[in-house]
Amino acid sequence: MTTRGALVVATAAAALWLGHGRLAADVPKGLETFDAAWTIVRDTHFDKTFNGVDWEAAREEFRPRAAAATTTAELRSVIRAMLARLGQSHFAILPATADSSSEQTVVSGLATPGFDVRLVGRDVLVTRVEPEGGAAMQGVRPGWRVTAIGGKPVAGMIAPLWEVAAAGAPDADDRVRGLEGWRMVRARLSGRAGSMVDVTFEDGTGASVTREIARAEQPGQPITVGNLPTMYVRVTNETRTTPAGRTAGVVGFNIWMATVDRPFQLAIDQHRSASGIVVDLRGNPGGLAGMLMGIAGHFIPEAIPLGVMKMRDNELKFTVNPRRVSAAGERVEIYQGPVAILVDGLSGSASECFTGGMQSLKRVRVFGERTMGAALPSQFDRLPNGDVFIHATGDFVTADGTRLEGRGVLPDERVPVTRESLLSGRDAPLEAALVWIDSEQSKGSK
Amino acid sequence: MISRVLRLGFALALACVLLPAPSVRAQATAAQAPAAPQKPADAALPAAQTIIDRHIEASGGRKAFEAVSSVNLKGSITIPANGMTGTIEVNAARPNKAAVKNNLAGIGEILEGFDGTTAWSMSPMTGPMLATGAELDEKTFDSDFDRALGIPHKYESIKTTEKTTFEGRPVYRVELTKKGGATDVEFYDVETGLKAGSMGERTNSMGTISMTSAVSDYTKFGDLLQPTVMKLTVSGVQMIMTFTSIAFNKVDPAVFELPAAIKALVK
Repeated sequence: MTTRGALVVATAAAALWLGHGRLAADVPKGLETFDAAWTIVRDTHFDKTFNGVDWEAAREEFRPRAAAATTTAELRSVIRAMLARLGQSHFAILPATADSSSEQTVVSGLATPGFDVRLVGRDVLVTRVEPEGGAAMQGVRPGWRVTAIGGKPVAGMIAPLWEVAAAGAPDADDRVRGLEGWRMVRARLSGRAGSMVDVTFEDGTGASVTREIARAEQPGQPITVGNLPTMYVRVTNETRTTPAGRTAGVVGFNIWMATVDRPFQLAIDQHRSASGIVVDLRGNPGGLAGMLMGIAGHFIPEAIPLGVMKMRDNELKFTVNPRRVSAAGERVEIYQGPVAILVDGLSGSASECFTGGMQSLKRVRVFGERTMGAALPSQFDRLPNGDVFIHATGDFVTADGTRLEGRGVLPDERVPVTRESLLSGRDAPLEAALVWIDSEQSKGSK
Repeated sequence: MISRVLRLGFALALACVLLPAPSVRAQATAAQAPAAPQKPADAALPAAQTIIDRHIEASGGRKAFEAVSSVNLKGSITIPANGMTGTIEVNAARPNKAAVKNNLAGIGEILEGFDGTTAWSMSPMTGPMLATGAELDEKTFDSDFDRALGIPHKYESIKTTEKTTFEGRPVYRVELTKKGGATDVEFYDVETGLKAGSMGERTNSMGTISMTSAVSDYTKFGDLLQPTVMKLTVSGVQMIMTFTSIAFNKVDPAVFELPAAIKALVK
């Protein structure tokens, strides 16, 4: 029997840990592991009705299958199938051992060829190229269509995504496909640092080009929290000019980890007199839920709740901590100018709770695309077989009562990514945010 | 004394680790004038004050406690289930000063303090914060250094409610009620007389949460027998703190000074 873990995370990062885990010849502590996972859910799930699932019956149904599992991978599949009955995010098994193609691998910590992608329609488009990465060295550009990886056509790789119907929100299918497609492609692109991967693209002229790209460790500060895999934390900060010539700060980070706080604080200090601030959370899958209160406090001067985490026997408010002190330890006024948040289908969990909370307080305007809809605060435990079990222990409801799980955050202005805009070097959601900052400032000056 | 400041330390750790959890600190037993004694619920049970006095004697005696004006503790924190680890250092001084520093791997340094007037915390997740309202009241209540003597003068009443089992050992359960009705519970080992643990609720800006602490592995430091292991459980999550160093009367008062960021908030 395992003891329960303590770190409360609001992250969909679990969903991004894709495949590690050598198939075992036997299933060490198989039933013990199954029972531990089942018991943790029984004892900690925030909803005593288990989202309408007969949890006792689920145990009776799946336990014989767990007992019959002949490999660790099979055991994990059985547990995952049981957890899938809950129909909720933030239930995941992270394998303790290293890899097979049938299991999922840790994206964070693995080397990549230095570019990111999104699924747009049935196209896998390059959306961002690391300035110093292997792809940049090979001239890869945003907007290029990824057509094959290691000689294997991408179209065939992602085709099954259209064969599975997803329930829920009207665009849930697209969001699920977007996440799964990204995950499939990233898993295929990732590998050992220094290894090479052949990627075939359709470039901006429509020509097919193949590049042999060196994989390198992801940029960023490596952070390891407990048993979770190492994550590479990046904070970006730049000053942009709006169409009307105003200045705006654009600050982004890729995961909600404590190490983000200081550079974010420094960035806000830098932009304190800017006409607007844009917080870029595109592709940010979440992280430490406790950070919501501190980051929100840079923009809200009152200790008011962004939302409430509803647990089985208690409710806790995510109350804003107004940040009245600069990084240098000096008293400052909270930033009161226009604040925009950029999100997309890979913005999950803590990013959604933050964005949804700020939106519900009418403090921000949200640009981009609907978020992941995976917004359950969770904890992680070590199971008897060594796997890490991430499990939801709370539900998050924004200040205006909006439940984000399944629904996600709906942008105030939907600005989809297109191949054309990427090829032209434009960042359409950011541009829309900068236009809005101008309009807000114009209102204020009238 | 140790159990008292240990629990203060947990506040920091929990503020970080159990992210949505409010600050959780100790329920108290405080010094000076005793609370109005009450008869135990069961006449066969010893009176609460008798149980507390026995704990003081078993720990080294009242004079030994009174000779201590400050304490420094150093140790480690582990959360076995999820593999998190860290360090902790606690300083406390008479009459009610406290400063706690946690450093958790992957999270960073979390500080909390009380200088007799201002209760504050700083974490790399939330930034600098001042305690206000009920939270400040609780921190003020909990920060009484002499409370370690186990004389609950700040409580409206104390009573022994039952002989029960805690952490597998027979204990007396003592209920301590504050003015206003809030209740803390402490457990005292029937055999040794030493405090075995406590239960209570604490509040911060996020809300109220209950916690249970168990202390063990009493070791002699100077003239005092002190627990060196504390297991704190909040919402089913257990943290273990193990102290390897406990030193008395050597704390530099400067450790209780407010950090610059907190001073800026107080302005």
